[in-house]
Amino acid sequence: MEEKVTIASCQNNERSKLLKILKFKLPHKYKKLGLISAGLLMLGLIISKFAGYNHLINKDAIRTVMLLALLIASLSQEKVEDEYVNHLRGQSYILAFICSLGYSIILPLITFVIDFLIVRITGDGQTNFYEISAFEVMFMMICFQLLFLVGLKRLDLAE
Amino acid sequence: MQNKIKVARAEMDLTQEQLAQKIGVSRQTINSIEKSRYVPSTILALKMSHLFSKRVDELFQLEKED
Repeated sequence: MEEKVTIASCQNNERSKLLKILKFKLPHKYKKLGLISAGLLMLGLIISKFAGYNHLINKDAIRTVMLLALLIASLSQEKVEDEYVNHLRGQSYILAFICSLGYSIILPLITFVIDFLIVRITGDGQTNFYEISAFEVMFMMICFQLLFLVGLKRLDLAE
Repeated sequence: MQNKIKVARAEMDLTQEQLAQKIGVSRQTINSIEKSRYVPSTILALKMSHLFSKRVDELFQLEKED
């Protein structure tokens, strides 16, 4: 009996730790900060690519900081944060997870088919299977989440 | 899940905004609950029940498909 109580209390501890992580939110002001930082970093990456300064910057480091900025935006509270917004947030994470998985499955298939057709038509080169990077999947997932949250809130207001 | 929040709110002559402020949620949340798009948590349902002085099952009723 005593052992059961100990196991139950351990499970409760684990559960409360998980709940703390789930409830963790940054203040609303961080949302703008995260989005602006991510936007500026993206702009920097694009400009550096077209201006030919690509070799001067560490692309991987910038991408990681960009993901961090988007994560900050994703974890920030809305102006009014209540249980309904939490519910929408949960739905947006589910949708983002499904869509980014779909994206990472479908995009390589589409590029493979196009590649295959081009090779068939032109007769030169070889068909390659396009591999999606971890950054691409995470970037898409977090962007989908932010967009779905805005979309779900807007749809709700529109009805 | 059906609910009679709109009726109860009208009986007390409260706007969605006023009700939202009283129970600590946004107006959008009240709107979604009234339109049965969102089923509130037990805590929120009890808060409404106290505010309107009605039983929870008077405010919320199950539908056939529930």
